[in-house]
Amino acid sequence: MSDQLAEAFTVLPQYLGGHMRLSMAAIACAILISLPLGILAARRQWLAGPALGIAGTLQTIPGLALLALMVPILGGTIGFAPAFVALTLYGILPVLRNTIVGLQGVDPVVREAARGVGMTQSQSLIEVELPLALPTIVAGIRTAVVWVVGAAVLATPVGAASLGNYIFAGLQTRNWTAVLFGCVASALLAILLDQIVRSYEIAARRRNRVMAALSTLAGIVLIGGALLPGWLDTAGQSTVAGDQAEAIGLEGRVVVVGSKPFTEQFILAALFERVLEAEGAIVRRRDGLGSTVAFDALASSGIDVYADYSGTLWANVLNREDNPGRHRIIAETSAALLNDYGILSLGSLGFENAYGFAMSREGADRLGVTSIAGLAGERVTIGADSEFFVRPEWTGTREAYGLQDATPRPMDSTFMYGAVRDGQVDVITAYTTDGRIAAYDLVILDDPRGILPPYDAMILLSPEAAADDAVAAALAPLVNAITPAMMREANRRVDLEGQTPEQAADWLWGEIGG
Amino acid sequence: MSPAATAHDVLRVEGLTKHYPGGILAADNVGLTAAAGELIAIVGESGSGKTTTLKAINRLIEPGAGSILFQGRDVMSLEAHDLRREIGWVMQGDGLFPHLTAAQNIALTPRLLKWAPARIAARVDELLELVRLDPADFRDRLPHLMSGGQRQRIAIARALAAEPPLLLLDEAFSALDPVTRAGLQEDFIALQNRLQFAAVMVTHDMAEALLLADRILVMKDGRVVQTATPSDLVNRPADPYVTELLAAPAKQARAVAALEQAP
Ligand SMILES: Nc1ncnc2c1ncn2[C@@H]1O[C@H](COP(=O)(O)OP(=O)(O)O)[C@@H](O)[C@H]1O
Ligand SMILES: [Mg+2]
Repeated sequence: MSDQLAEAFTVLPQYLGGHMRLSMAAIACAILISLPLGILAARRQWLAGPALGIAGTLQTIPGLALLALMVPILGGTIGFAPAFVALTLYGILPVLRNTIVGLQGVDPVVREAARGVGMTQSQSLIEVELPLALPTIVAGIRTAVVWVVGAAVLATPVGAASLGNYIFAGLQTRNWTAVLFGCVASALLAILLDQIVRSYEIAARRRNRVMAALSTLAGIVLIGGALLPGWLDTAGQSTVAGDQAEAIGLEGRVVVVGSKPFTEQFILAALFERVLEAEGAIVRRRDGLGSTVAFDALASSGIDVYADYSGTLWANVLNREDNPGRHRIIAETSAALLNDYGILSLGSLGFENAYGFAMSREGADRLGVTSIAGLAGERVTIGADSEFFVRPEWTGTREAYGLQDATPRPMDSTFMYGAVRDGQVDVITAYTTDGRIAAYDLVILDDPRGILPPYDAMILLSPEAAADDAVAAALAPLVNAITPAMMREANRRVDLEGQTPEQAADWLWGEIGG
Repeated sequence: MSPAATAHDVLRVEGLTKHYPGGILAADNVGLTAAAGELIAIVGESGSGKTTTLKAINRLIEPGAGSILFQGRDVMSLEAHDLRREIGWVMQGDGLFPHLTAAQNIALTPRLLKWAPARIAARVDELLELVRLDPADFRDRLPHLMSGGQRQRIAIARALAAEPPLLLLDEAFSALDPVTRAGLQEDFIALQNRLQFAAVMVTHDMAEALLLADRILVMKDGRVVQTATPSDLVNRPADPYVTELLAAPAKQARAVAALEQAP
């Protein structure tokens, strides 16, 4: 437990810095857009209606979806940009609405008095209307601060470091300390920023210079603190292909390693990092990327390397539904990735992480099944990650084995192993390398008709990284180096023993003989 | 009736006509003059066009047809905000800025005119004395910490701050209780006698007009039905409507007189 806490603290500067840069830039930009717009719209109903309508509609899009949508909208860019744009859009509504409401709420008698004493329109706005609307506007800014800081945890799946890294990785690796740590840190940050804005408002209202100076100082310290690691971070940023220095190995080059949001991916990313750093590379991590986000990022060289699974690529990228066998799938997928995207596959890591229909031993015995065929016509509930039920594997298995009466229960993959062990669902689509299959004594049902495609883990390099032999050379020792048993054990160490992915990667590296 | 124009008129309005959208004729060929030290009252029932006439003078409403000369200058030839800085304005309700102290409210127009800070500070204290409020006590008070009468005094001080030659008052005393109101009316007259500004005062209260004004304009449906001194108005009402307006204060006076004579 304290190990996990210590681990959480070591990455705090990076995650907190990322979180603050992102949310403060978004809040600043949201204010810069919505304050002038609100001032214009307050006196023009034809503008106020549509502006509030659009901002309100954006607000109803779930945060995760809004952030994820920004990736394709920005042409496949991951990281800061899509998260920043989405969070800015998110922050606009409260400030815009409160600016309009605040200004419209100023007593018309007071506005006429401002004209009566000889103020111009802008003098009236600056000296009378804005000060009177200030409490309402500040309330809007405070709402935006709390919303944006809270929503910024959703930047993790689009590849921007944030406190969400704790939460997403923690959920997948069953590291509840990390989950809690991320939640508390983001809540504290929201409260802190909110209080700074609040004290600033009080200072402005009471015309208290000391208090204003103090809150300005606090704001500057926060912004400075957020930006400083940012400059350090970008200082050495040149990606692999851009750097043509004749160095030995990967000395001083930046390689960006990505991962999808589950334990095995975190361990593999840690392993890649270790191997690349041994060759002198400077490794940046983009952990917990959404499945398609990771692939798109690789294709656009937003990340340089990650591991993906042949069956996933076969269905999602090649749009194939047939199953010509394990080796053909690897070969055809590799060829297609290189031709269509310039992505280089180094080959299989040596293990498969397939979907396997799993039941508790007790449940399987009760129904007397050893193969998926035995589930035909049974009214069972099937737990699986939400991706599974929209994949051709599911429709394929359902048709082939007569599973029409089964009820799908999409859930986060972290929870499905416990759910099937405890009888909350009858069947799950387990990942075959998961350590919990053995630990919970689950039974994998046979797939006699070979419907479920193979899922060999493949090392993929971005077009830019592929242009540099050194990256491929550094990662070559990992090809065909990990057996299914080794991967299961590494996963088990994280999921069941509470080790960090880095510790598991160290163990794996030792086993490989590095 | 056409106003008798003289060279020293501070204000001279001729043929003022104002249509609102929707065909309402709020002011119809209105004429009036005000000389320094003179107080003109505009009286009439609600909706008769008093406020419209008054606001046209400092262009809070853009006048339609007609001419308005302020110190001999056509008001349309000036920037509206420059014009308003030269004319004091006291509105219905006090119209004080709730986020500014009494001193800051009073200092507004001088500040807009870019007076030196020391001159403004001295002027603020002088005005507080003039409207009979203790500067030490009231300078830093916010409007919500004052009574209605005190607020109205601050409003008058604010209107007089930049030494305007003309003061416009729209129902300035209407919202006050009778005792406060009588005290303020008396002080106001004393102030005007001393500072010799011209004043145009809108009121729906004929008694107030009779008491304070040098001349009274009676308005009905946007038209001036009579312009006269208080005694001429009482003794020679030119219109049944004027008689009607005079009936109420006359009746009150008779009732009070009757009680006084009773044993
Ligand atoms: N902004 C406006 N738009 C349209 N009609 C108005 C406006 N202001 C006043 N009026 C109308 O003009 C007439 C005169 O109004 P006003 O000058 O305020 O009268 P008073 O001050 O004597 O009560 C009324 O019929 C009133 O309804
Ligand atoms: Mg009126």
